[in-house]
Amino acid sequence: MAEEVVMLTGNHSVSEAVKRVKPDVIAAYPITPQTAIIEYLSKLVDSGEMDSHFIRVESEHSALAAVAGASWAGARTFTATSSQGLLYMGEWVFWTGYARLPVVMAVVNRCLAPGWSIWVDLQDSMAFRDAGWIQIYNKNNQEVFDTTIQSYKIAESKDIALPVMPCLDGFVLSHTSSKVILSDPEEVYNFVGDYSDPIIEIDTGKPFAYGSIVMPDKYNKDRKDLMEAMERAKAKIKAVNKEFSETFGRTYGNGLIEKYGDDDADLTIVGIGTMADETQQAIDMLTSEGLKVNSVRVRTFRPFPTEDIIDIAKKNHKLLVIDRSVSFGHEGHLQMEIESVLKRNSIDTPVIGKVMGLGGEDVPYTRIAKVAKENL
Amino acid sequence: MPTTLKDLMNNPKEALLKGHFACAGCGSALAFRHAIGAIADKAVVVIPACCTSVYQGFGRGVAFDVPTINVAFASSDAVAAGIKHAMEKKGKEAHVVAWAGDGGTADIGIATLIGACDRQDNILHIMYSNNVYSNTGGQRSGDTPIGARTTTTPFGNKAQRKMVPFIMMANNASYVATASVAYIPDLVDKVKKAISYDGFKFIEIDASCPVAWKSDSADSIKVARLAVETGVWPLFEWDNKSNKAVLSKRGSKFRNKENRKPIEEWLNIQGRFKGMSDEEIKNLYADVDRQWTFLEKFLE
Amino acid sequence: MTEKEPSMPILYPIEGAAGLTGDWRTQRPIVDPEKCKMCNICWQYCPDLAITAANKDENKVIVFDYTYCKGCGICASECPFGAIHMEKEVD
Ligand SMILES: Cc1ncc(C[n+]2csc(CCOP(=O)(O)OP(=O)(O)O)c2C)c(N)n1
Repeated sequence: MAEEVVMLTGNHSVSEAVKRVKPDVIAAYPITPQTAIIEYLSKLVDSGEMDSHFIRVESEHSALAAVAGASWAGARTFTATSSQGLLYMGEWVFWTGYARLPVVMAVVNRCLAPGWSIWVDLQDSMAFRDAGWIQIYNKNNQEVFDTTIQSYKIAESKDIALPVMPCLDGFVLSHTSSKVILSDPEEVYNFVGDYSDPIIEIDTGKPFAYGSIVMPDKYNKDRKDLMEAMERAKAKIKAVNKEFSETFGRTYGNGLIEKYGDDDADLTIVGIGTMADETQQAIDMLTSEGLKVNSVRVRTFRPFPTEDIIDIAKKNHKLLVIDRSVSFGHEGHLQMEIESVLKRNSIDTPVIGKVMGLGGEDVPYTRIAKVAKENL
Repeated sequence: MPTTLKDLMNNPKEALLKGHFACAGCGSALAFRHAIGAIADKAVVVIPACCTSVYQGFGRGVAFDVPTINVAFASSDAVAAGIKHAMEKKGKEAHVVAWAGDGGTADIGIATLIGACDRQDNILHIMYSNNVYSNTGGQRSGDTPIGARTTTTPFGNKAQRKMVPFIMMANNASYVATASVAYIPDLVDKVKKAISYDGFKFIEIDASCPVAWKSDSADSIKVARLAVETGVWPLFEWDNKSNKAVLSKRGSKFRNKENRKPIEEWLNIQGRFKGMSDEEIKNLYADVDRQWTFLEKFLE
Repeated sequence: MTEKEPSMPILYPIEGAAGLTGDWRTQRPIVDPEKCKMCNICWQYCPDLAITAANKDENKVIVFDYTYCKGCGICASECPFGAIHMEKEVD
């Protein structure tokens, strides 16, 4: 089987990627808009097309607990969730990150209740930015496919050993079909490699205890190591992005951020997820009107691309940060991070923040362009 | 052949090492020693938040000589299932045991427990019940007997006891048993038998806690034995193939009420029941009757 | 980039994980060799594995491991022959 070009939803782009990396164990629980990912995988497993164990758990808490268990036992794993489901597994999100288990979990971004809404914003995954997971936000279904593959290579490398959360906007990506190049399964598998030398595994002849009571010095040692692994992950993500582009011919900026337009802009629009992709159209429009604007899409929110943000702030004159999530009592999450980076590095490029698109509110490029103009 | 004391002594490997952190007279540690000891060469244990997460030790090393994974309170069976699936996929043999207290089993972990049972995940759940949340200071759990003074029921627990073994029978576990630290060979037999079944297995062990029970540590076995002899703790096995319950040899005569000792004998050596009213004692008797009435339906 | 193993909360089995737990004892079990019938019931019930089993063939009675015995007294109360009694620790 060679490469295929198909029209595919974001959800099925995840499934197709997962199929190619051949996880040993999958456990998942349905929630809109993630459900199609796991329905498709269940079918592949039950029809024998995939040689994975699929555990149909009774809750998200158990979904992540089960894949964590499998990961402790040295298995390659996958799960997916969204919104309330992510919150429900919250205890395990932290547990998995702190445990350094290389679990890959697709998060289809959906806002949080009340009231019930199934549309996109990033409040769910942003609530877990401190859980020790690498978070990679995607702009289109091709990237969703590619990032899911890359996630395994990043997570399972021994010098990183961190779970990875590929994030895709609910409905905008999860349920919308677009052109996706599905790379040759064998090539994909070879790119990721097998997981025969796991980060940790369980053998009955080799007793050890994981996670017993721990004293503050050891606790701090582990957390410091996690911090350092996150720092190392920046280079790793870049390297994987590069290697991926050399193998498959597709690339996403430097892996951490993706720039659009020329430096030395009067205004740089910084965003994340599909809204950042929409921003590029706004940039085209504004540029055609003779305005000096450009944009940056933050691809990895964790680890945060600090050095890239410094570089951008130095090369441009003003930043407009568009957030699709917010810390109530403060401001948008992306804005928070950017301001802190600039402040820490004594860079006085002005930063303006705008929270938009909560609860699936449509944010067309024309609106982004309007906001940009107001702040030029 | 039933296990004998001699067999126990010939067990090649201990699962519990000397110098652990359990309190003097801890029923859970004793149960762990023998239950996990019986399968030590192939055991993997998953432990949610409970006394066992603490008494395994910390700092320089642990007292458990089997692979041990400590996990979040409500998730031992899900983790155990994940481990079992992974090991199966990798062609590794293991008896994966979720070892949890009554809180982690009957209360916060019950959805996870039943979920793993519904799926017939090939694991063994061992619930050691000290009838309270001992680790956090002895608060009431769903498995607290009527009348017990706990730190959250200072004037006596009023709620009926949640009989998890019956719940597991109703959910078609492949094997269900009750056991007691007073009858170690019987406990070991049940563990060994459990692992001979495919699918989800469940054992509840009555495990004394001198601290929460306000009993003398020297009485840890005596209290547990009295629970059986008074009928408070029926010892039985059940499997889904037969859908029949069988009373264990050591406890079978207590099916007949006339052979039972008065429950007061069990109550009186535990400070946790001090000050029980006649009404509470009556309610406790009724709750014990309720268990037997249920169990009778499955006995020959 | 150098390969690096992640730092994890992993511990390995050792004897005396909680230190020399014999220090916890307020009373110590004493066996009367005359009365010990070497049945090893006490051995079975010891939560602390602090009893070396008796050996009938070699005519050896049980031996307490005072390094780890916490002095719970189960052995004394379960001995069918009254061969074990508890004595207050003096220090
Ligand atoms: C989600 C969560 N809630 C509460 C706790 C606090 N907690 C730790 S152990 C425990 C009680 C455990 O009781 P049980 O399962 O009966 O075991 P035991 O302590 O009696 O051995 C509680 C409430 C926790 N660790 N996690």
